[in-house]
Amino acid sequence: MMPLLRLDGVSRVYRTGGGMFGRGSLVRAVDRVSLDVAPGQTLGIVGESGCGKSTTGRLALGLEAPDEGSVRFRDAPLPAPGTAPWRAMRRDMQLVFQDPLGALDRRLTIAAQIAEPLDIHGIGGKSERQDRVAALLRDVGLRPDQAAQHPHELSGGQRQRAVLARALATDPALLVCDEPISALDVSIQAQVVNMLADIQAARGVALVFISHDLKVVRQVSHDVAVMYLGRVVERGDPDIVFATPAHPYTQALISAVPVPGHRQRARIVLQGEPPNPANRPTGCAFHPRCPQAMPRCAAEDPAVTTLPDGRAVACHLAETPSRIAA
Amino acid sequence: MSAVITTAAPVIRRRAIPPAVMVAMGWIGFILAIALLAELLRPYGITQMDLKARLRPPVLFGGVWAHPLGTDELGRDVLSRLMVSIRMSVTIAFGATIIAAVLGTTLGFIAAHFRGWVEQVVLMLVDFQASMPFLIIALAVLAFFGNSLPLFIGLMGLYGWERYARMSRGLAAAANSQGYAAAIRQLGARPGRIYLRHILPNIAATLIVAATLSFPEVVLLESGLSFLGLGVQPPMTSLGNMVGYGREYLTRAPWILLTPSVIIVTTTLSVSLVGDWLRDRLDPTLS
Repeated sequence: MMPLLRLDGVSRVYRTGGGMFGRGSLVRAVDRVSLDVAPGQTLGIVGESGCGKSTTGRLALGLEAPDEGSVRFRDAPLPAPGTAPWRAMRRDMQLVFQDPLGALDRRLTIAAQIAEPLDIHGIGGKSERQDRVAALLRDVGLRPDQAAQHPHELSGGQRQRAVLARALATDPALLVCDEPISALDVSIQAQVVNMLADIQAARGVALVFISHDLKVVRQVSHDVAVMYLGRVVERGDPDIVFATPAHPYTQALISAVPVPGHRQRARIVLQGEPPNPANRPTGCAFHPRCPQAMPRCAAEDPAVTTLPDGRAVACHLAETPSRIAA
Repeated sequence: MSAVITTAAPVIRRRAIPPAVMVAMGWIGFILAIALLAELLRPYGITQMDLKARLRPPVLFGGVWAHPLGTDELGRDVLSRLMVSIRMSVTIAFGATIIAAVLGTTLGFIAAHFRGWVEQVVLMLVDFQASMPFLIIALAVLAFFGNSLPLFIGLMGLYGWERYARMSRGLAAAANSQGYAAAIRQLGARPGRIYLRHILPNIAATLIVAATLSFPEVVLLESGLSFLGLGVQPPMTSLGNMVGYGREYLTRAPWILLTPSVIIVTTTLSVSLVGDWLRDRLDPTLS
C-alpha cells in the first residue's frame, strides 16, 4: 500500500550560538530519519526531551523544510513553507499542539476558532459552516453551549478537544499530535486518547502521535519509532518493540515504565545526561550511556538492520541477533 | 401544563462603567466637541484685539461677561483663543498619536514577519530614534524645512513610534514562534489574516495603553516646541503656545497660562483613565 506520508532520510540542521561574528555550531536536531505513515494508521514516535521528536513532526507537516532528504505526501513533494500551495495543503494535514491554551486565540469564541479553517479555505457557506461546527463540537464531546465560550472558560481537556475540533474541521488525511496529552491530567489523558482512537476509526485519518508516554504510544500506535539524539534507533510493531526491545536504549526506556503489581524489576538505569547534539559522540551516539557498549560502538556508526520480525534496529548488537539480550 | 425547561443562553453581562471613567469620557467628548465646533463657538476672532480691555480677569475674579475667561496682554479674548487652541492641539495630538501607532505597529509586524536583515534594519531605526533626543530631531527638521501644520503633525507622528514598533515586534514574534499565531499559520492562513485578525486584536490592549501614555506626551512636546517658537506659530495658537506666551504675565494675569494648563491636565488625565478602562474592557480574560 502506498504510504500517505514518507520521510526519506530527512535531516534538520540548526545553527546555534552564532552571532554576527561567531560561526556558531551546527546542531543536527533530526539526522537522516526515514519514516512512513500509511493512510488511516498511527505512527507513534517516542524518545526523551530534545531527541528531535517535535522537529520530525514539524518536518512531516512541512512547517519546516528539511536540510537533507525529502518529505513526500501522497507521493508528491511538499511545497515550500509559506507559499500559496503550502497554505492550500494545510487542509489535508494538521497539527495538534501540546499546549491547547497557547494554541487558541483567547479573544475569540470556540465556535469562531473551529470555523476558522473553514473560513481560511473557503469551505461551505455560512449556514453550512455553522452546521459543521456543531457537528465537530459533538464529535469531540463538547456541549453546544460551549461554542460561545472563550478558551479561558474551558478546562484543559475541553480546550484540547476544541483544538482537535479545529484540526479536524477541514477533514484532513493526516494529523500530527505533538505531545497532545502531556499537559493534561491523567484522567483526562485517557479520555482524549480514546477520543482520538474513535475519531480515527470514524474518519480514517492517519496520525503521527508524538509522546514520551510509552504506554499511551503502545495503546494507540500501529507502528512505533524510538528516537535518540535525532535518529530513529528502533522501529516496528509496538507490541513486539515493547515486549522484546532490541536496542539497548529502547530496553532502558521500557524498563523505566512502572508496572502495577511489580515492585522491583530489573531496571536499566542510564548513566549521565543525553549528550549535546552539537557535540555528537563518535560511532553510535548512544555508546557513552549504553550498558552493552563494545569498543566497536565508539568507532562505527551502526547501520539499520531489519530483524526477521520486521523491526528496523540501528545497533551493532542487532547485526548479530544471537547476542541481543532478551 | 408541563413545565418548560429553558436552557438559558449565556447572558452577556454588561459591566457598569465606573463613574470616574464616565466623567473622563464626558470630558473627552466635550473637548472633541469644542475642537470640532471651535470656529462656530468662539465669541471673538483670535486676533481681534481690544487694547482698552487688556489683561481683564475672568468673570468670577472681577471680570465682565463680555470676556468670561478674561483677556490677554493685547486684549484678545482668552476663551476664544482657548477654543481654537484646543482644536489645534487635539488635531496635532490625535494625528500624531495615530501616525505613530500605525507606523510603529506596521514596522514592528514587518520586522517580526520577515526577520533577517529586514528586522535588523527596523531595529537599527528603533535604536536610532530611541537614542536621539526627539527635541533635537524636531529642531533640525523644523529649522531646515520651515514650519507648516501638516509637516508639524507628521513630525510629531515620528515621536514615540519606536515604542509601538518594539512592542508589536516582540509580541508578534512571540505569537509567531509558539502559540495562537503559529497555530493559525499552520491552518493555512495568509499573513494578512494572521496579523490583522489575530495578532492585532490580541496586542491592541497593550498598544492602546501605550497610545494613552504618549498622547499627553505629544501634547507636552507640542507645548514645548511652541514655547520655543518652533511649533505652532503666531497668529495661530495652541495650548502650548498659549502657555508659552502667558508665562510672561504669570504674576499679573495668571489666567492666560492657567486656563490652557488646566485643559492640558484634565484632557490628558481623561485620556489615561479611559485608556486604562479600555484595556481591561478589551481583555475577555478579565471579568
